[in-house]
Order: sequence, then structure tokens, then C-alpha cells
Amino acid sequence: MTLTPANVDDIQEIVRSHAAIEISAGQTKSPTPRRDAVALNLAALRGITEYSADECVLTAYAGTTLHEIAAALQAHGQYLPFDPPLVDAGATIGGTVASAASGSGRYRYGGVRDFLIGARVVDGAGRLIRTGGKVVKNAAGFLLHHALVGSAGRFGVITEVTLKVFPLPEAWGTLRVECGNVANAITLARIVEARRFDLACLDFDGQGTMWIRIAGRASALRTRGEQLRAAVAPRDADWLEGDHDAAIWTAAQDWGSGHDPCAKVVGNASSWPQLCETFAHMRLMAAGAFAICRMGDLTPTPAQLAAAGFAAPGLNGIIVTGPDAGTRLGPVPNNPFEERVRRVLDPQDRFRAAPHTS
Amino acid sequence: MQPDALLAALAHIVPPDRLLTRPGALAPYECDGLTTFRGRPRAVVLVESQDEVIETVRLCHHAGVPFMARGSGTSLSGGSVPVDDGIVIALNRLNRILRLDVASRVVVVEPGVINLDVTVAAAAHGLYYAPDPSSQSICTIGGNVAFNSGGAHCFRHGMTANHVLGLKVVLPDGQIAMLGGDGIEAVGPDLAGLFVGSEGLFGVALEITLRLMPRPESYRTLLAGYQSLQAAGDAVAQIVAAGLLPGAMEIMDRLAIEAAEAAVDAGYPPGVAAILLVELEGDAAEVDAEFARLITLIAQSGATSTRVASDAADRARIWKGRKCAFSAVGRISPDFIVQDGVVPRTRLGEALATIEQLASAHGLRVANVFHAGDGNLHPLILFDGREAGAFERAEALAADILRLCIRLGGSITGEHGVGLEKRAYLSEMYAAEDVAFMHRLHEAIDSKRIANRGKMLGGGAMPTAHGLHPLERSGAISRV
Repeated sequence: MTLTPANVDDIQEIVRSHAAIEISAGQTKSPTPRRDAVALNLAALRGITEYSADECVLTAYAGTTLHEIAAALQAHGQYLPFDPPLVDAGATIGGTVASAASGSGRYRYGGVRDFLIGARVVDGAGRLIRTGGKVVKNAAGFLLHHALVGSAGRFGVITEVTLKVFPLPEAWGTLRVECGNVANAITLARIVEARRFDLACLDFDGQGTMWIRIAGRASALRTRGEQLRAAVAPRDADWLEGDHDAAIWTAAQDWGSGHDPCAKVVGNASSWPQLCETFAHMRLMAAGAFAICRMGDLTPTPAQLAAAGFAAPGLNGIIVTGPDAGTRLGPVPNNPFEERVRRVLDPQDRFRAAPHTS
Repeated sequence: MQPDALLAALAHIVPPDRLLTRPGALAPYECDGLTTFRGRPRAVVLVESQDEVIETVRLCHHAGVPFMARGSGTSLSGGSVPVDDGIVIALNRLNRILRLDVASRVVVVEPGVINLDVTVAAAAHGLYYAPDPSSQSICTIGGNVAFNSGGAHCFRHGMTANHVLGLKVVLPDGQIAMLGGDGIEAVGPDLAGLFVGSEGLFGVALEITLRLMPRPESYRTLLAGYQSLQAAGDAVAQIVAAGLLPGAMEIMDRLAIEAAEAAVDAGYPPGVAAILLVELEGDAAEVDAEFARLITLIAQSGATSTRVASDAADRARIWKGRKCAFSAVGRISPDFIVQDGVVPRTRLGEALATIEQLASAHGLRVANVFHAGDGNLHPLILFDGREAGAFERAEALAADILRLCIRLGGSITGEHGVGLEKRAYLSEMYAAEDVAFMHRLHEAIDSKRIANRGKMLGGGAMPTAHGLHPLERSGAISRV
């Protein structure tokens, strides 16, 4: 059974009257409801409730699409700098927060966790709780909204979020460099980082193609681009602007689908060469802080995962799209703090059956 | 466990010279940067290892005796005032930088590490730690974590919560939990983000993984003088509307300028009603292009004077005036209260005008220093504690200002935390059900309510407000 409430009162009522609930919205990450739970779809709880461009703060219901938010922001020369994925596929802001989905742009100013400043959430007892606020600086009370980032529906139903937003840069440009393989790309990433350029994005893939993006005033862009080119010399590099630049980063927002699932893998430089053996297609973001990997033929059995190195410390992952979305790659240690937080928010285990419990 | 039994057990954890119990040795731990509240602890444990912290917490939990972890005691909200007869865990000696990973731009530190020392350690690698509370040369990372400290760069760079990537913590019952991860992205809920700002109520951070930022190639620091606070505030709005994203935007009013100039020769323009400090940061070519735009905006905004920092030393001098503003006010008033509230940036002008009216209604002067980029006000309420009723009037004005922040849609604290000072206002800012949730969460994490008892949510025996320190009241000491 799928329920599509359009207001918060109905959500509270639904939560109170069902023993097991699975939350979705745009269904771009987890396409089909599973298991013996009521599917609570938030797609109808949508709309920007408050947006002050002067304040650089936007509040929207959880089911609001990223597309709608991006359009509203762009009309005022602003944007979400963390490049949330699956915009064109119809992803919502609630799902973006719940899955902590930050893209390439998180390199410069931070990810979802750095832009979420407040939220409302319906807990497992049907209570509506407000956390944080609508100002960018706030140290009052427990900041529960932080824990909603990546909570994957286990702490309650996020109904509304408030985000800090930033002015949209005037111009963008990307330098594309062929490094040959991932090890060379990692080496180049370190060289570029040591120069301390103020980069918007620094991505590379498993084959060693690197994309370095800068953003800012149009009058300074080419000068900065030339400095970047000099830093990667003698490697060949192509400078891309306009649609050619935009196309690269739009493609990076494609995190797969039900037919072509992806995992987010968190690791460090030493993890990636081995992972290239496991994942034929992977894009490493934020200078290699994390990777979005096509699952391909890999089924997440413990043996396969262990073979891929997921038993080792420092390597962690989660399937982000497809039927197994929410499945953790690698061991999930018991966490007494997390368990206490979860029990307070969901004492009757209504959200425990959600697919994100591994 | 009897009181003496607890002390005896603590004596098994640390040697006698690191277990303070004599009144004279305990006195420095009785209050913090706020000085309004005081408590007399039973003992202070000077820990030198994580195990000593864990053992002390477990003993306190077993005995049901409150404990408070303390760094440098710079809290401005009474956050590090001990509970009478409780245990203080002094973390200053737990101050090792455990790992500096230049490639991953992270550093792992113990809680007693001084904020500025993180940047000092990272500087050789072109990196720095962004959160910069004014007390950064003495405050510790552990305290920054507990109170989600801010600083002057929060609009662009965020608060402490945005720079803490991972934590190893000891919960109030002695269990260990690992929160977050060791990189900028993690898997699972952002529990480190929830722990930050919990004011010690969730336990003690033993290891903290911090994000380091690349030091920008270029800074450009501009100081503009205005004939009114309103004009300075309007300039901030115009800068944001023009699409610029300065690292910092700070405003000081006439009284604050006067105080800062008296304390350090910051070179602020004389005779102006307000100064606006704007700092651009980034690649040199970008900063040049932004500066051209900025200088046009400033010229159009009615600035009566402008000055650009000529070099790094000049930049440091300009910032020194701003960062010492709190203590500098001691030069122009015998006593003062540092307040900390937030309003939406677009309502700064309204807030400042109202604060002026409120101050005059209470017959008090207020010096204003604020982080204009993020709407974080720091009204400094000036009074003379030797005058009967003056402290009470100052407190009443502080209360009015906090209620103003709530009414305008802001927060009762931007960076100092709730502590003891603002317990009464939390339930005015949040609805009853929101505060009830905080109590339920507190109960689940610390069923005995022994970790930094009384802060933020109240509960237990309250430390008493003593007003000024007796020596301050007598005029023997002052805050300069």
C-alpha cells in the first residue's frame, strides 16, 4: 500500500496508525517499495515555503524536487553549491538530505551537512519536531537536523528542510586532463591541491581522466584557467566553457537508476587503485574523498565485498540507487550513541524495517 | 559510593599531584569566562590520557556524581561552571595532535589542543583550521566541539559542526562511541554533527577529526567608515545582493571602535559611527576581480572613508582591533555583559535600532560588535557593578535583546551556547514539543544526568548567580 499525504497532519496520522513505514519521495534512489511496510511517499508534500534571496536561506517541503529549487534559486542568481545528484531524474530535497547526497561541488564549500540549517521531522510517535532554525548561525539546543543527514528514513519522516544557499558564480570553466590511470590521477590531484587553488570541483575517473572546475568572476576566469593549465603541465589539457563545461557536471549528477545501480564509497588515496579492479566505472569526487561506483555485476555478498577490500578500516560504502539502495558495503559496527538516538526518535521501531537497515 | 570512596577511587587513576581537592587549588575552576555563576567542585582531575578520562567518567557514573569536562574555561555562557560537589575533568594536558594528514586535509587532535595551535601545526602545509572564535589563542577544541563555536567566517565556512568530521567520545555511562568518519564524506547519519553543540551533555570528546582548509592564495581586507550603523548594515546587504561571498563581514559601532582603539592601535578611522570590515579571499586573480566590484559597491554605499590593508601585518592589526573588542570594552566601562544573539541578516538594521531604544529605556550604554555576514550580534552591555541595581538592569536589557532575536526569527545564541546563562530562553525560542524532545534525548544518552549537569536544559541543583566576582565588584580587578 502506498500513501501520498499532502500535508504534515496526515503524515503524523499515518505514522501513528501503521506499525512499519518505508519513506520515499521522488523514487530516484530506491525505485520500488519493498518489504511488508506501508509506503509513505512524500512527492505530494511539495513546495518552497519560504525563500529570501537577500537572506540566502530557503525552506521547502521534503517532497519538493531539486529541479524546482534550482529554478527558484537561479531566478535570483543563487544555487545549492554541493551539486546534489539526480536533479534531472526528479530527486527531491528530502531524499537528498536523508541520503546525504552531495556531488562534485561539495569540494569547495561543503556538502549537504554544511548547508542544512534546520528541519522539521515527524518522529515514530507521530510528533512533529522542529530542529535548528532559519539563520545560518545557531548554537541553541541539540542540533538534531545534523543527524537527519544520511539518516535514510530511520530517524523519522523529514517533512521540511531549511538550507543556506549561495550566490551563483558568474562564470565556470573546466580543465580536462588525461592522466592514463587512477594512480597518475591521484598524483596529479595532490600536485594541484598543493597549489591551493580555490577550485569548485576536482573529479577523476577510474581510467584517469580528470576534470578540474573553477568558478567566479568572468573577468578572472581565463587567467585562473591558464594558471591551472600551467600547474598540470606538461600533461595535455583541454579548457572547456559554457555548454561543454556544464555537460561534464550534469553527467556527474547521474548516479544511476534501478537498472544501473550505484554505490557511494568513502575511502582515501590508497583505496582507489584496488577498487578500480572491482568497479569498472567509478567517478572519484572531491579529490578522491569519495567515489560513485556503478555496481555492474557486483552483488554485495560479504565474500565479494571482503574481496573488494571493504573489510579493511578506512573503506566504507553504501548502495545509493537501485533495488538494494541503503545496503551498506562492509561491516557496520554497533554504535551505542546511534542506537540511543534512534530509540528516542522511533521507540516502536516503525522505521526500522526501512530498506536502509542493512 | 560514599564521597570519600569516590576520591579514593580517583586517587587510583591519577597520582596525588593531579588530583586537586584543596580549596585553594579548586578556586580557579569555580567559574568560567562568564563569571556570573560559580560552583565549588569536590575535586579536579588533571587527566593526561584518554584512559584516565574514561576511568573517571565510569567512576562518576557508578557513584552518580556529576562531572564536567573543562578546557580553558573561556565559555561565555557559563558552560564550564562546575556543579557544587561534582568532579571537574581538566583536559588541558590532553593536548596532543595525533595525526596530521596533509593529503586528506584532516587532523586528529585531543580535546585539550588550543584552537589556534591546529592552524599553527597545519600552516607549514598551506592549510588552516577555519573556525576562529575571538578566544582562539586560548580556547580548546574540546570546548569548541561542546559549544559549536563560531567566529568571523561562518557565513562562508560554517561553524565548528561543519569542520568536525569524526569523534571518539566517551558517553556519560562510560561507553565508547565512534561518530562520523575520517574524511569529508561519511556513510550513515551525521552523528558527529549532532554531538557538536551538545554542551557536554552527551559526554566527552576524546579524539576529534577536523577538516583543514587550504589557505587562500590571497586576502583583501577593506575597512570602510560610515556615519550611521544603518548605512554600514545596508552595505552588507548590497554586497550579498551583488553576488559576492566575502570570507568575513564585521561591523563595529562608535563605542566599540573607541574601545578597540584604546586597547590596540588598530588604525580605525576616527569620528565615524560605524566601521565595516570586509575580507575577500581566494585566488589572486579572482580576489582582484571581486575587489573591483566591492570597491564600487562601497563607494555607492555612502562610506566616508575606506582603507585597504597594505600587507599581512596591517591585516593582522585590523583584525586584532576586532578580536579584542570584548575585552577592550573593559577600558571604557567598569563592567559589561557580552551578549550573543542572531537575527536574520536582512533585519540587522531593525535589530540595532531597537537595541538602541531598549538600552536607553534601561538607562544603559551598549557597544555593538557583530558578525554582519551571518546576523550574529554581540551587544556589549556596559554598566557599573558598584552601582546598586545596575547589574540587574543590565541583565534585564540582555533578556530584552534575546527576546528581540527570537521575535525577529533568529536565535538566542550564535556561538556562545546556552550554558547556564540562557536556560530560561531555550523554551521561548523552541516550542514545548521541541524542548521535550531535547529532554527525551538527554535522558536516553545520560539517564543519571551527570554529564555537565544543569547546562542548556537545566535540571539538578542550579549553580547560583553571584553577579560580579567579589574582586571585580570592589574594583580590585577588571576585565581588560
